Amino acid sequence: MIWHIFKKDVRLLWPMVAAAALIEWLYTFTNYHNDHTVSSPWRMDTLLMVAQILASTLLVVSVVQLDALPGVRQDWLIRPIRRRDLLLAKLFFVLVMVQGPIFAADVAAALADGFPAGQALSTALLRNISYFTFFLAPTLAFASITRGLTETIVAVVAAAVGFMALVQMINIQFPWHWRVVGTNDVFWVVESCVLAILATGVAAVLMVQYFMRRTTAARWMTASVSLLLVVFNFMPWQPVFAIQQRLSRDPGAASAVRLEFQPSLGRYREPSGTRTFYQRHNREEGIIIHVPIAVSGLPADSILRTDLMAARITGPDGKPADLGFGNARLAWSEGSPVPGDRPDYPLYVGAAAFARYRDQVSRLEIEYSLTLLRLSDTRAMQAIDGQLAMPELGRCQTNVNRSGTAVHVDCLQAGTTPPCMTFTLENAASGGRNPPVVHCEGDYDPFFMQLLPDALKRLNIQVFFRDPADRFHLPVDGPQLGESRVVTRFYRPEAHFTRHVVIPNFRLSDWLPL
Amino acid sequence: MIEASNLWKKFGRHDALRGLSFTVPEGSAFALIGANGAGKTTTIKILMNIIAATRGTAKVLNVDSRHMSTQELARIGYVSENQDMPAGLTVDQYLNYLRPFYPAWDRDLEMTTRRDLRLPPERKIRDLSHGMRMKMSLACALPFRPTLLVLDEPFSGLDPLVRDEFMEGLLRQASEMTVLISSHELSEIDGIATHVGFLDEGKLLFEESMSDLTERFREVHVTLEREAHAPDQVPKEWLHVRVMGNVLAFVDTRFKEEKLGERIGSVLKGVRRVDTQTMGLRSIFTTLARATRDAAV
Repeated sequence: MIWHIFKKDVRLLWPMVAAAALIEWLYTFTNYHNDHTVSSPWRMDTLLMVAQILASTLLVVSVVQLDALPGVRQDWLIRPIRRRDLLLAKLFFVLVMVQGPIFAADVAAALADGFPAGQALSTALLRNISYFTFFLAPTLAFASITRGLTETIVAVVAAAVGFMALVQMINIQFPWHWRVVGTNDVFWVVESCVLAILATGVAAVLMVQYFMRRTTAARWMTASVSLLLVVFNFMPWQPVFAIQQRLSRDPGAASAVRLEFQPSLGRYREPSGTRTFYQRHNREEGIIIHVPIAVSGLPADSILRTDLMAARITGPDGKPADLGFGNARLAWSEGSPVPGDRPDYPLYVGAAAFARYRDQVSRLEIEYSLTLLRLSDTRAMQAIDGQLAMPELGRCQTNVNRSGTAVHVDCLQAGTTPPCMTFTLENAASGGRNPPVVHCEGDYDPFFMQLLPDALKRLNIQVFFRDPADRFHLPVDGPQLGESRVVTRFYRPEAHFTRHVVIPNFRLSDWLPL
Repeated sequence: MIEASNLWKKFGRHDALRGLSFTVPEGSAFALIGANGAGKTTTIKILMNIIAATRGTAKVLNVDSRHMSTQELARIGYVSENQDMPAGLTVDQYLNYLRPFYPAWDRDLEMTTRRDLRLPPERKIRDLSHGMRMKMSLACALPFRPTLLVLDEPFSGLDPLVRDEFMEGLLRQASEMTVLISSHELSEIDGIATHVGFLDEGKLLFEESMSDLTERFREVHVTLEREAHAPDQVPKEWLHVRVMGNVLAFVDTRFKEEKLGERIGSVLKGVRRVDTQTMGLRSIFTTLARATRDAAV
């Protein structure tokens, strides 16, 4: 009877199905157009993305509420319809009529971009699994505990307000947390936990509603799962990084890496004319200090990333206190340091803590959570109008920007991308080599997990060859571009590990940037 | 066919049902009557497993109503004024949709019922009038020849013509099945019901066969030799006692012809004549409802 119920739902909802599919395909076409047009990208993509999400939501809610579960007036309640069949029919509808066009559009987009059928299918499948688990299935479960569209909208708005209030409360309580875990490359661990809780919660709510029709219990369950999701979004750093550590490819690879306090490095000097984000926007929230740390024992061709530094200070009174955190995504690559760059990272110290310990000689302990990445592959492509298909980054092309100061590297990948890579302009004839552009923004996630905008990952990098203000000159400059290449080096995470640095006599005011 | 045992239902602090017990014998047409808010619809919804009882159990087709499977539901027809059918489907489409769920669905009977009820096949359910929807509901309940037909306020809001069509459709098959009906339209029930249960504020005041009920209720008019006065001690089985000149009228709820004269003689003096009149279900219901209300006051 699943097919029979499905047909009835299609008969009732086909105009909505057609509209949602049309929006999805328009959205996909817009993305494709924007990916392949530099001059005049359509600016409809955000609007269409919102419309597509709304259309999917509306469709899922509508199909569930054709045979609504709460209430006492629905005709299906007194019909010999198996609850299991009803649930499966609704799931089937969501998969075929809601998810189907999205999946087809994802596959078509990947194929149109030149990816092989297997890669296009697998990437679209993985993206659609994420989309279903994170979005469509929870929407389905939510719709099953509400009576009608109005009730659903009111409930969604109430839930969103409640969620934001809760997040705000937690943010006030733990002001640094989101910046520490939420924006970190290990956040996939949190996302995976959230995904598991969400999937379990959705299954439980659907079971309770469809097989027992206990709306009040299902609503409480939904509220509990939502609360749990918020709490898990604020998972403490230690267990998150511990899980990441256990997943290290080669835990021993970082055994020789040492971090030491090196006062001789001197105070950090900010590049002239620039101020950091936090100084610009959150002056009242904290002060930035730079602790000079020397790194040794790095293997050749490697990058060391500081995923987090957590500082603890013990003042003359002997009482230890949390001082602050740092999780700047700066990378330090041995053998190819960026001029002027140095391996120390900003530590954000709360205003109150800074005021208290500013001039006190204290004991500072810093716990570093680090990731060692090793060179895994190198690719090169022409600096001007180059085109290359790379397994790591997909289909890439290069061109010079309008102001004639940088080479644009634009890539489109169906699947995962490495978490770290460097882009270097090199001229084989002259032997010239510009400082690398380090790009470390990927996650350490072992699987492809992407909700929006589609199944493709986009990378846009600018590799400068000329200072716009003409303050300095680089070895590979404009005239050499024709015979130059952009060399891309990919780095793979080998080991996630921690190091503990203790500085017995430390005064915060000594290490303010110049 | 149906056995309700000590059913309780609470809505917040309000007790909608208070220990309701009754039995619907197989082959009977059981009318559940009572004032608004007496608990008729709540009872039916519990029997149909649409809502759960707070306490007590109900057996329908010998199965606990909470555990009715599709097999039992395929033998139960349900018609209610509070029934939301898929508004976007046409009459034809919805009947086509329902057909496969009922193994005993009879296409010929479906065609006959549709024709007799004069349902427009291409009209969407959302465009049907209230009366048409009730007929549609009946047309969906009859073609599988249900063992049990449950009707919850089926005549509410129907005009006389539609009511007649509805009744004809119903009566054609009523003899083949057990019927449980709740309604205010007592004149309509009068022609169908074989048993009656009187519900008041969630309690069943009585249940008995229609023949017993009409047998024991009589409208009695006692003509006295001089102006009548209500007796100081009114027998408890006399309800709705009123005085009209030298006539004392009341409803005898324990009527026995051979004992009536003696009973009247023990209460009233100077009796010139006694007239008795059988009562319809409607009169019985209003007498009982009034008595209950007065007792509550």
